[in-house]
Amino acid sequence: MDLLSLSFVLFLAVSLAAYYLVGRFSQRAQWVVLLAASLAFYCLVGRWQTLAYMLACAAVTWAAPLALARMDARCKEERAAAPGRAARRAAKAAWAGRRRAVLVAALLACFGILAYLKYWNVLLYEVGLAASPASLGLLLPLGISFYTFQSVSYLVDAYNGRFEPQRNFLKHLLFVSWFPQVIQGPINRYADLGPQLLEGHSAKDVPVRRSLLRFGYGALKKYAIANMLVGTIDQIFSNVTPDIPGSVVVFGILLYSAQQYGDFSGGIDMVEAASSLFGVRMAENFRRPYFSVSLADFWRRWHITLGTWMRDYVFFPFAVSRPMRALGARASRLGEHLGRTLPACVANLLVFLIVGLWHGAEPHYVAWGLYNGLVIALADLLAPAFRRANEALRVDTGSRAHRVFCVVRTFLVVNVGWYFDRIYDFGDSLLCLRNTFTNFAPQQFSLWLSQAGVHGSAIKFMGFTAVACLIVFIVSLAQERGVDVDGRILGWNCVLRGLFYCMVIGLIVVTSYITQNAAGGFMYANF
Amino acid sequence: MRTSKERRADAASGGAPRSWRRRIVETIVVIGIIVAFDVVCSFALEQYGSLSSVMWSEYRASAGENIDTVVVGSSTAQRSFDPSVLDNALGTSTFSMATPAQPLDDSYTAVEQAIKDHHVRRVILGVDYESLSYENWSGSHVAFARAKMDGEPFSQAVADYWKLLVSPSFMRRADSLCALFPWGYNHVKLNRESIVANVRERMSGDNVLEAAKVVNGGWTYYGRGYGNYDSVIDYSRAREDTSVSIHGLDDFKQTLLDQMTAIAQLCNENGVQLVVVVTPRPAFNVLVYGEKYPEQMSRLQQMVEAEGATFVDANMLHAETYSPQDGDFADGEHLNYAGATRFSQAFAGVLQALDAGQDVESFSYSYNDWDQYLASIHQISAVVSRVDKADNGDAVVSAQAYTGTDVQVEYRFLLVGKDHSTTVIQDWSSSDSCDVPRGSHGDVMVCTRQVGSTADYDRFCMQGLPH
Repeated sequence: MDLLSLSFVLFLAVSLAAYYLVGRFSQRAQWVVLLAASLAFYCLVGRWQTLAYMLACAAVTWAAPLALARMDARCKEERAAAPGRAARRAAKAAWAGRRRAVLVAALLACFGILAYLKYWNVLLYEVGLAASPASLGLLLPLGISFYTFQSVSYLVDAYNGRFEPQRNFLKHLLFVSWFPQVIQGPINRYADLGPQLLEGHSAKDVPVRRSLLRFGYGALKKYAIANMLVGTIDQIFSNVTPDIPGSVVVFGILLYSAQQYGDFSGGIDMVEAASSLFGVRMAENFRRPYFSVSLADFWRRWHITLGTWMRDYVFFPFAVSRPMRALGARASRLGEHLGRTLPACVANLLVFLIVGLWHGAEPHYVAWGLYNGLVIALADLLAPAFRRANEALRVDTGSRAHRVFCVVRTFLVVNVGWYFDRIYDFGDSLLCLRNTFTNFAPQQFSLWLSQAGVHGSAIKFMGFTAVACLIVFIVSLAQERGVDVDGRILGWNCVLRGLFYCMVIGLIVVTSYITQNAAGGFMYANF
Repeated sequence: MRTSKERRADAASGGAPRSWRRRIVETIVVIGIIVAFDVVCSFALEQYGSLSSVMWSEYRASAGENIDTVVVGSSTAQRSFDPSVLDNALGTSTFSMATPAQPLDDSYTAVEQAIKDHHVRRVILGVDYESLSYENWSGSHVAFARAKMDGEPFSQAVADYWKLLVSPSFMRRADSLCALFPWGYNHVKLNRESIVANVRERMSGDNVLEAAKVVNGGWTYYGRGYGNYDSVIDYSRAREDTSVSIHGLDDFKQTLLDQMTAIAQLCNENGVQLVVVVTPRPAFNVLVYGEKYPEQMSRLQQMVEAEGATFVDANMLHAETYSPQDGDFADGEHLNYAGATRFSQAFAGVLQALDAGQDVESFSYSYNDWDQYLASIHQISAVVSRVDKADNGDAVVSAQAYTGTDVQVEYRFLLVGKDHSTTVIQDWSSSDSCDVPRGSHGDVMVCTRQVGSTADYDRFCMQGLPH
């Protein structure tokens, strides 16, 4: 079911009507409607046969924190009854070990399901024991990576005592299965999302017009940008040959840059809007990433919730672990900066290795993850050298020109990373990268594209995409300057607004028809 | 007093209390503008004189006439069967309800309407490989539904369009909402001349048939829903003409086979004879599917025959029943007027045999005897080529001749310069590939003929070079 479809509109309308109707009688019971809608959506959009995996994940991450809470209580009792300080300490240590064992078992269960369904077949294929990456016929549940990571964040936060665990399994299941988030995230935190799902909402408090505007903006990005480009990108990179001109590669990667952003952030806008119609605000996942001034900044603006998840549950625990502290101490002999940053650099490499694997077990994803980790690590390590160079060259790092330079530089660095992300064979990624510098051959650009099946009409139709990109660029630039663009548009008089909506609808209608054969669902649907 | 800027800011933030009346008025104005935009765009951009609208308007004009046979299907069916030829031979009264890219569920609608209006006794459903393997015909769906709506009462028209929006192929896709703006689906070229011409045609007072003749240059209407072109295929462009290069190669979709079953069952329930015909195409455009063709078509045949309908694959007919000529085709998929006349005469013979109770299966090669079919092709249907780069950087042109298994083929490769001068770079031989000398510019002409022939070529194609 596409988010821009009559079936989704009807589904949303029925769910909203039921939600606010129930709310008129009892706001405390409204969450039941959300749960019913979420489970129905999962069965409608995903495969109902895979619902069991989500239920299993929810059951594990519901039961384990309750067990941990019970252990805490038992620990307190034992410590209270202990005769001396040593006995109290021994009891605490014993229970801490048991708590850790429960945590590890729950984590293994959650990640075990994810690893089996998502990676096992690919792994067998890579070592030559499976005919294809999908030959085992394992059904990949919709949104498994998202709900697994979200559930694990709940589990770990509960382990760390950040909140009281939810006693009602169905309420916990709602947190795991909330339908706008299962397609492609964001990865929400229980402390933010849980209370919103469970408290009642009234229709009059919902910013309907803003939500609809955001839904339309997302649809514009998804249909007029992402779907329009996916076919051309596929034609360029599906048959990489040794002589592929660098000019074609760069063109393909730039298109991918726009497509990736349009697809992912467009989809997120649409689900955020759908969620906010219920009065539930999910975590933001994008903040104009192509305006980033460094790769680290990019990852604070792109797929934000994955970045914060990695920061909280991988980076920090690993960076402050005993071996990393020892490494830092040893490295500090070579310099204070190195001692401070080296553990973080290693942790970054680990984080981005996992980010790569999260996208898939194929070598090119691993390479993409490591590339990002390596660039960020090197940027950290070399920060003093860059600072000294800036001073020596008398660069005004606070100037607008320097900011533009940093944005362009980051854009280029990000795009080099896309080579490893989008070109599905690692060897081909390297080949394309080499040809970008050694065989740019702009004179072969048109001919090569036409031989790859990219016809003149496809290039001509990109005019629509260019208009959509221009709209997105203007909106993003204004937002970057702190302008409330939605508010401005909603403040226009209704005739102007109507004309503006006509233009956007026109773009979506035309591009949706042009691209109906080229694109499938959202790219991130199975991550 | 608050400034207009402050009021706008409040309105945008949703913080200020806005009167419900004003909100409703604003919403109505916005919706009104969008509806007006839709109406204006439909008027200017939606194709006036589409072949779907010709079919439905002519069908309605035949309301008082006797129709006992209908032809349904996509453009391949539309351009394969000449109703007048069938009627002259069989004494029937045939009307063609086939329209370009008509999906099977629209064929169902057409059959249902014909049964309801005329109690037809025979339905000829023309299909090709893509009818069963390719699903995304939303533009055709919209054009078909809009054309059907044109002469209907408002309530029926709304019901028909709603049925389209909630149909399985639309309901879960963006089409279900975007089709509310039908001009996006069946529009003229988005340039000034085409839009102005469309508006002028719409306002000229011409009926859709006259408009269709203007819009579809070279198209002639012959009556009873049937129209065709006279153009003849250029076999040297076979590569662009193969259906596989246009649509890709997929297995038949179960949903489409189910739709075929639904048509067969509809006919069964109403005592209507259904004849499913795989329409003729040049041999190269059958051979291009390889083993997929007999594999998938035999699935279709089994399904059709299991429902009690008759199945005829015009491409598999023995030469004594039907043997198309080179000039019968307009392109890789369609017959032209002369070709359709010849095929309709041959097909009328098949129907006569069917009416006489004969087993028409014996008129064709069986899919189990695919080798016999391949051996029955005695000509080179077409040659196609591609260019690759060898490891040493030289261009290599490879050719593939589509022909029967018993035909011996030889190739010659010539370099055609920009000044049209030709140089033989590899003379006649059985080798189907050729290294192009480094530094060559222009195109490579690939000629092919049967061994023993002294002709300059039987077929040729041109191959552009990458440098």
